[in-house]
Amino acid sequence: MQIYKAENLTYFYPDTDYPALDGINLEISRGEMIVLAGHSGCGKSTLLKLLAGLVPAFYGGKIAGNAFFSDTNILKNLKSLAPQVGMLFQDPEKQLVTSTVEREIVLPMENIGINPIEARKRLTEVVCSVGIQELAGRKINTLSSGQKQKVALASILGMNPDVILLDEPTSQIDPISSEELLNTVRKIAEDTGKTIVMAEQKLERCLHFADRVIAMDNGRIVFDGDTREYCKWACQTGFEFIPVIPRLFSGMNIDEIPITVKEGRKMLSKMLDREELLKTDACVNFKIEAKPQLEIRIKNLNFSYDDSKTILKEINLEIQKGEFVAILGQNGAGKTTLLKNINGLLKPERGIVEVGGAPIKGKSIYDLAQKITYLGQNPDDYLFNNTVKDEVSFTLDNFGNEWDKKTQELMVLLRLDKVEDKNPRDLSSGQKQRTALASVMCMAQDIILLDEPTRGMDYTNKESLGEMLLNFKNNGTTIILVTHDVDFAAEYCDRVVLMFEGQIIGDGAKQDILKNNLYYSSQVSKLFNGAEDFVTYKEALTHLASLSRKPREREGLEGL
Amino acid sequence: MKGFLESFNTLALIIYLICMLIFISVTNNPVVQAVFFVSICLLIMLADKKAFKNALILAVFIGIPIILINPIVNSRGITVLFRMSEIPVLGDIKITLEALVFALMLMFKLINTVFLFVFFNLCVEPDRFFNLMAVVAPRSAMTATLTAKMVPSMIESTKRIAEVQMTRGVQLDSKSLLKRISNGWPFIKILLFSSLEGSLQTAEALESKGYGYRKRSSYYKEGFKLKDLLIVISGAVAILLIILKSPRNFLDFKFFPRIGVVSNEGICGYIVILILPILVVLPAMLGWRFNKCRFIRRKI
Repeated sequence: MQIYKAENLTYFYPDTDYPALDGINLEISRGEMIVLAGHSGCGKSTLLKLLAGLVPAFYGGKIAGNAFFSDTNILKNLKSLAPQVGMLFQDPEKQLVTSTVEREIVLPMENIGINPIEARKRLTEVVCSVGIQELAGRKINTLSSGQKQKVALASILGMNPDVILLDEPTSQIDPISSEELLNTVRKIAEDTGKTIVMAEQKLERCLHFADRVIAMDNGRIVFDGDTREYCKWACQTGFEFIPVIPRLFSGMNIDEIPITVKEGRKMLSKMLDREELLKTDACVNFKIEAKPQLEIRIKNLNFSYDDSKTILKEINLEIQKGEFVAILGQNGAGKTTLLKNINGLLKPERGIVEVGGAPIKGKSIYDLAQKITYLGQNPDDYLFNNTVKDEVSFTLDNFGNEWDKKTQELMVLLRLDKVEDKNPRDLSSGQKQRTALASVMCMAQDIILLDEPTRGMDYTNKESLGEMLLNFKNNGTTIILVTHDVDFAAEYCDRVVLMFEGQIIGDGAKQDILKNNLYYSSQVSKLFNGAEDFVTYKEALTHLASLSRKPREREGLEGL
Repeated sequence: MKGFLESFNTLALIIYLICMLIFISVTNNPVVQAVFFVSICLLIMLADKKAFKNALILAVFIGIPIILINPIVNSRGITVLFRMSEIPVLGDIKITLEALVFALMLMFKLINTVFLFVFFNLCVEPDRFFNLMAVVAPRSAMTATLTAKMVPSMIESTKRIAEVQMTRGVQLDSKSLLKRISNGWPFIKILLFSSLEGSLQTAEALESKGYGYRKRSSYYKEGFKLKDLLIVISGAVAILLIILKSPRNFLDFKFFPRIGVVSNEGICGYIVILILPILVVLPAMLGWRFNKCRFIRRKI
């Protein structure tokens, strides 16, 4: 039974001359679980807001065509479709209003006039179904981002909506919480039969339980169909939004492209015997080469905030010039604190930090900023000038420098030369991040410290960031990256440092650290479980291609 | 004690707050204001010692400028304590006892007003206030909530933005005040942009949660007990004193040209000064002394 119907729908946000939605034709049936895929700014969020009744009611703008929810004409109704439709937004901080978990869950129920007895019943039900029983009595400001997002989901479920819309719900939370949240969404979809429409960047986490995928580009729907058909279509058309596993198998002559790691493993075992897979000479050892020049040396570093719990305990780390290091670890492991101890934003309680052979003790942040670039988690914290060029010039002025040839080259390298005269706050998320990076890199290109740079990024932006960083690395820049994104770290870094509770618990070449790790392991290393030195897509592709060239022809591999 | 104070009915506390605010705003007697100040200090101290410490720091920041500036710009009064001539911009300066006492009264008045809100904030969580307001004035409640959320979010962002701007060469710790102020400008712009964007997202989330969809129900019922009635009565008594004093002027105080009382009914003034601390500290007294008696505890 159909619940939504859109006919030739076109929508413009106020004061824009390009459509956010362009000629959308769509039908959604009750109980469907749909994933929206596409790059940042392609119209996914706008489409979800339209389905929630927030567009055009909340935003205004121009709209043409027709859109119906059950029998309600969304374009004539002009108000939110709550309580029949609930929406979960990206940022958990911004969507919570009250100060306690219980009040937050009860709030929407009060808004729609549910009596206290029924509200009590629903409160108990949703708290259990989302698995946040132990959080019920807590204050919101004591929760982690992942817990906050679960509370926000519970508050929506309290309204008992027919439709749940999720706008990149995992983009601001750590991978463990993301997995828990998506498992809850899956359980809701399976148990309650509610209609779920979810925009998500990490497709590898949700494609396998979606009934249907809608791909969008420039405000248009470019694909609408079954998950496996989507994978085939994306591979054929070069649409970038496809997880590593189906992408890896896409070039093979096989009928059913695997979506999950488990399916991929099954497929591999059908095609190859395990011994062969492990012993093949095509395995390339990607060990890092020893670099002669020591860039960063950290010895017995200890740090705590205000004499409270020790955040960093006896950290010893040496990083060579031109190395690309990823620091992985759970929230609160001390990753960001370590970065801030390297660039002087925090002062070590005990221990030594040396950069370029000299201790940083006694050096000001101002002095260190001329050697070390630091990019924090939120690019918006950097941007306030009227144009991208002004933003970069602002930093140069602060250090008494002028715009020169080197700056212009940096702008080209960061692909900002075409948007120099635009307001940085009007740019896409990827461009914003590159502008923030340019605003600090214009002074220092010896060492780059990046804190969660891929948070909320789509595949295209991640790839372009990775390639850009590799470019810097090849020019001799040392890069340290704090991330939760294991696949990104596996793809682009040389070395991985694992942190837990303020200590380094693993440090080595990425293949050594990621290959047999239970949690911090890339999709590819999970696929080649036990096989040596496969952590990146490129390595796996090379290996499979080399196998296909062997005399004994195998079904499937021929197409590579 | 804080837990007990939080158990008062929100509406009763609002009535108490309004009555006390009216009382201090229409009373121009420095002694009454000083007694009120001591009483409200005691009340906050009993509620939360840490909050009291912070409130005292705030009082110093409010009080010192008033005490310093008012006697300088107000030259009324005949009892001259200090005289300076030909001060640039200000000319001749005459500091009088009357202006000083008037400044003291103003200072107490302002601090008392602020402290009343500090006390209210300790007793009533923003959520309870929102719940009450959302029934009466939903749009104002939403605006108040968004504003209340914006302030802590700005404070939280301040440190983060300062750090990243310092890595761009912004010297927020410059020795020159002028430089610090000019360097702070980007900082304020970013804070403002981010906070406004955040408020918009919160408003959107509230809308999607059916805010304003229909008449709200109330999950949390607040009963009206004896203790709530008692603090409403204490507020009413404060208003009654104002009404009584109007024709007889027994609380009024004359500052200029010479300090003095207006009414001869001094005894009434003494009575007020004796009653006032009881009226002000009553909410804490109910939880502190009377609560020790099992019978009264059950009743209130």
